[in-house]
Amino acid sequence: MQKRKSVLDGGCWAPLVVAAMLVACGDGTTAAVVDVADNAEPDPDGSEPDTSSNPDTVGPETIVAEPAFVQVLLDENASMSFGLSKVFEVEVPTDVVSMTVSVIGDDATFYGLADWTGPGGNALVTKGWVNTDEGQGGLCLSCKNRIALSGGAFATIAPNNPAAEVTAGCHTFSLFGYEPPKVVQGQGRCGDGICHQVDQFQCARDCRSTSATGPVRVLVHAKMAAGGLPATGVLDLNLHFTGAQGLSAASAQTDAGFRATIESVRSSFSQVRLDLSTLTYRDIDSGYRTIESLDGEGSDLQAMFSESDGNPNALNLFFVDELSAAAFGGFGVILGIAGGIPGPPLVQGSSRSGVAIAIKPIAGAPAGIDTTMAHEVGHFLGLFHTSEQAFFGPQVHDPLPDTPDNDASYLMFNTGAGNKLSEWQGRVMRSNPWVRHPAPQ
Amino acid sequence: MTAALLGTSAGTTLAAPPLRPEPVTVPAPNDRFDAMLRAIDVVPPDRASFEAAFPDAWARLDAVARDAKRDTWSRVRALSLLSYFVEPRTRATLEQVLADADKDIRRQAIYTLGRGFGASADVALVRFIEARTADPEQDVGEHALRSLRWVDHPEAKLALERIAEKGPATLRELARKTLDKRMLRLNGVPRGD
Repeated sequence: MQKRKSVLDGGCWAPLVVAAMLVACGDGTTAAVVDVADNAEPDPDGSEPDTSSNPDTVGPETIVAEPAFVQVLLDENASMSFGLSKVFEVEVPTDVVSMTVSVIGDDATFYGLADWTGPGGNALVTKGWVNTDEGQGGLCLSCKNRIALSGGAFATIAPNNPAAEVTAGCHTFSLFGYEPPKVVQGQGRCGDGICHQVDQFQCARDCRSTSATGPVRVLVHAKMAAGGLPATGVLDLNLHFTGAQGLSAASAQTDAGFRATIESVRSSFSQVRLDLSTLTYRDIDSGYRTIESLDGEGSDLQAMFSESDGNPNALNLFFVDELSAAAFGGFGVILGIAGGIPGPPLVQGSSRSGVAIAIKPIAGAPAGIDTTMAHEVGHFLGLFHTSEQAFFGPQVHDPLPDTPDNDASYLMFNTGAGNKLSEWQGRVMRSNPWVRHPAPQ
Repeated sequence: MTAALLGTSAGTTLAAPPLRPEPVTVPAPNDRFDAMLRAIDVVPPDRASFEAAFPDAWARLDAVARDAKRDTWSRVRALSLLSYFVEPRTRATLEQVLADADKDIRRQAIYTLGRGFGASADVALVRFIEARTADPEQDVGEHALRSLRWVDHPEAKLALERIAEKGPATLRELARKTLDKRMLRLNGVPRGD
């Protein structure tokens, strides 16, 4: 991992100094500002998002004319010890509309936040949650800002619901990480220190997770907008082709079916005034056509997502024939997978930097390529399933107030067959640093 | 779980394959199970959770996998999820549906057989899978080959080397890549050639 010293390292007061310097210099386009409005390229079809029918205030946000930009508040190489990191402090400037915290680490390790507190003791992630049953499940439902642990790299975006207000001032957080046991099929002697499949049931001591150690890269991004989150945004995509279904970077640009898929996704996202903008087409190794493992060191998916290194600053979509998700002692075929909820923003080349979509047609598949693509991009931008179906635990709903429970007509329902997006879902998506807000023409 | 559930050597002998059909006891419809089967990005975290949620999970998967009237996606999902049950009755199901007319079903059945039973596979199973690489449908042959990545027995390496060197031209490159992936899985490094 490359050693990078953050210009903002040094606690909550240092960023104030840097921010003041930027203002004094009259230069808002420093290296710390990674997203500017004037790098927008025209849409391939020349269209602009239609905002003519928007009232001044729509749902939870305020319409503003000026664009937003993203500022890097922290980019630091740190280390984990006994499963925890030091406490990080960042000073969040005024005009913040959203924040993301990302951790890029070892492929075999799961990461998350142990706690996150904003000004006035505002606990966005509750300290101690990792020691509860929720911590065992890797999903903090009781946290004001919901987070899900993730392997290899982790990210969270706040606010991801109305209760999780992000305000200017001093924010502190620390990281949590663990390495799950490597499971070996067959059987061995209990106490041999090897986690065999049967040990899951018969010898838990051989299957303990270990506390994370080693280096991680920690990033904090803040989206800034003087008048609140813009009501529109655009998303750039890097489209990676493995040769699945005969599609290549060249053929996909003229393939009627693929173009229709892109237009369908564009149509879905237009509900929340999010448009697709610059599309970059790229071929990658055909060895990624079938993804047989998703997690852990050397997994197919993580290797494929790492292929995003050096690509334009855009969300990565990988088109494959088939995806198999392995779990403890088994696997299952799936249609799509996102690098996280959300995936790490504005980071290329990490083992979680992308979304993969299976495009091999199978009769009876519950969702089309277009809705699967939109669904997984929704995850990557920070959306949870509107409702889980209590398959393997209690029923869980997303933390948003305007997504009905158990409504399969919603895009983020777990079958992925719906199409609807709510205003709050749109807000979460547009809050993500991957979404740009070009200046009005 | 007992040793009988783990695909012991007795359960992997193909000289006398356990082709006796399971008693046909189709479970009553269960909307929750069907919703799980049709989820696009959800798999059970482990067998214990799977069976806690659906105590008759195996019987339901088995019924869907065998049911030619069901849609292909549901059957493919069921065949893949049978990998949570590495035991003789699962092998029997997989071997029986290898005769299915739908190539996507044969494709998934041979893959689950190789991947699911890879840790306990013997020479006979490797040869059985290798023979399936010659399926008239290239898709099926490719997936049979891919499944050898997950087979620990050294014969799997030899089979992949045979295909890489003398197999059909359409499979040679895939065999080389699968060899690399298998070595990476077993040793943490690719072949190096």
